[in-house]
Amino acid sequence: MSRSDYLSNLIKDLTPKEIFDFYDGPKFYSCYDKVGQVFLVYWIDETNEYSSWLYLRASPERYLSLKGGNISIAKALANPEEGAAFVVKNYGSDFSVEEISTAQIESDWLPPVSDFLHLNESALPEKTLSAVEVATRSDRQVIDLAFDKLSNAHEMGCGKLGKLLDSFQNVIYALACGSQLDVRRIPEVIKFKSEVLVTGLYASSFGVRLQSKGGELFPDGETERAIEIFASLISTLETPEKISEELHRFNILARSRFKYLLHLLVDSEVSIETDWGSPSGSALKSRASFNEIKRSLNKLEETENATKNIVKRTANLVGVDVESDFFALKIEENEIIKGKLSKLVSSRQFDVPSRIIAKLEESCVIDPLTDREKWSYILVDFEKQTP
Amino acid sequence: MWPDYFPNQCPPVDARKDWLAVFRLVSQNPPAQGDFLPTIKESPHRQFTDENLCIACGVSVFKNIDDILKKREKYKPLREKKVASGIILPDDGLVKETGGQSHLTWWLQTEEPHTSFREVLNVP
Repeated sequence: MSRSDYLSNLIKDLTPKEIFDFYDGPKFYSCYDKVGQVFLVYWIDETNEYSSWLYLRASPERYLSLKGGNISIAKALANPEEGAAFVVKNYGSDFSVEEISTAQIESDWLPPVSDFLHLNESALPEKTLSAVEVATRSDRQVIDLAFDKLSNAHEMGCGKLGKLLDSFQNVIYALACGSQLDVRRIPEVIKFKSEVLVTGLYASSFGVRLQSKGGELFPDGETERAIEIFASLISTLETPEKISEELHRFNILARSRFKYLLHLLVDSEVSIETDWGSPSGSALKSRASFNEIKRSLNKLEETENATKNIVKRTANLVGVDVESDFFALKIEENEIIKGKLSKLVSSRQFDVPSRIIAKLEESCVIDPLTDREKWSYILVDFEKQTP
Repeated sequence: MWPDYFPNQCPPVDARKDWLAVFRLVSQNPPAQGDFLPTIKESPHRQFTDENLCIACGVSVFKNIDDILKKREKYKPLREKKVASGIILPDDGLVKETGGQSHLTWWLQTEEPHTSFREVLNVP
């Protein structure tokens, strides 16, 4: 077969794929050949005898970049990746094909450099299996988190995605501690067991698949429960009035971390969709729109109840200054916590040092600038313990 | 009622008769019948869907002059054309919004579509 016959057959056998622009019919579109190679086709000239079209091959990356508006139409057409293009002259029932080099592509064939396509295409693969299908097949917990941006873009800033995933993991750690209300630090063993791993990305508009660690001889109930609770909390956001009450079932660390996650979601201008599945076949899908998240966060910010807690701790009272309402306690593992005296206790008599059962109002707030958890304490009441 | 070369369901069922002020690119002033010929013709690959072929059976008009000016800039064969404005009356055929922006496809049922069109002067 001659080169000319080859080119004629190539062009003749192309199948239209997507049409980008019309004027009295399609004028800018894509085609694919028998092996799926994509061609861009652009109307470049018209005479009484024929119409002329520029054809050039495009890689999947170039094609996605063009459709996503990351490269201008003119730049894509003027710079064929293989260094050559074709000019097809269509005479009606017949046509001719001429192969040309990049340098022969004339600038006046092209649209203005400011012309872009904005088709909002995703480079990510479609999600084909639900979380529970993957969980049962892989024998691992699965939670899919889909962040839908208001702008419906299919790409996401790495800083924002990183913060969201970090925050999600921190919520899971805290929820995995169960309902023990005075948890302040995550035990290392829970951190190890409850770590979730990113195992895939999917288009949705930006979907992240997370799975628990595999290979466990005994499945970890706490991690499963933590992920399920998380999915359930997301569905509670539908009714923002209930979120504060719902959060009170969990420890203060989980509450403040969940609140901080909501803050990050609002800051990133995304809604969230979760799809949880466990190897046992349990599953839960939930979704919260951007407005629901924002309203829930507003509800939580109306009151500090969500991030406050009253706990009793046995501790050594190691410092008091009633003039500045200051106290210091040494708690387990010799950790010192400091705070303010409530009005009720500031008039009482203190023995320093002494062993006490302290009734403390604890609050935990995450600083949005530093991401650090800031704990504060008010000594509400105390009982002296006899030695 | 419609030419034989029109594909199935062309014009589409949701195309309508309407009264519209529109713009079209033309070669002659005053516009001539030849400025309103559908461009559907034999092409090297003719496997467009019926829906897309159907658009090529009509002619392109725009409701917004800015959109037609952008279109004129986009393709070399259109850059020398003039912008004409005119009125489509219900008896002139069917119209439907297609292809985004203010673009409409007009499936003609009048022999003299050009008579109501005039070149728009002072267009950049």
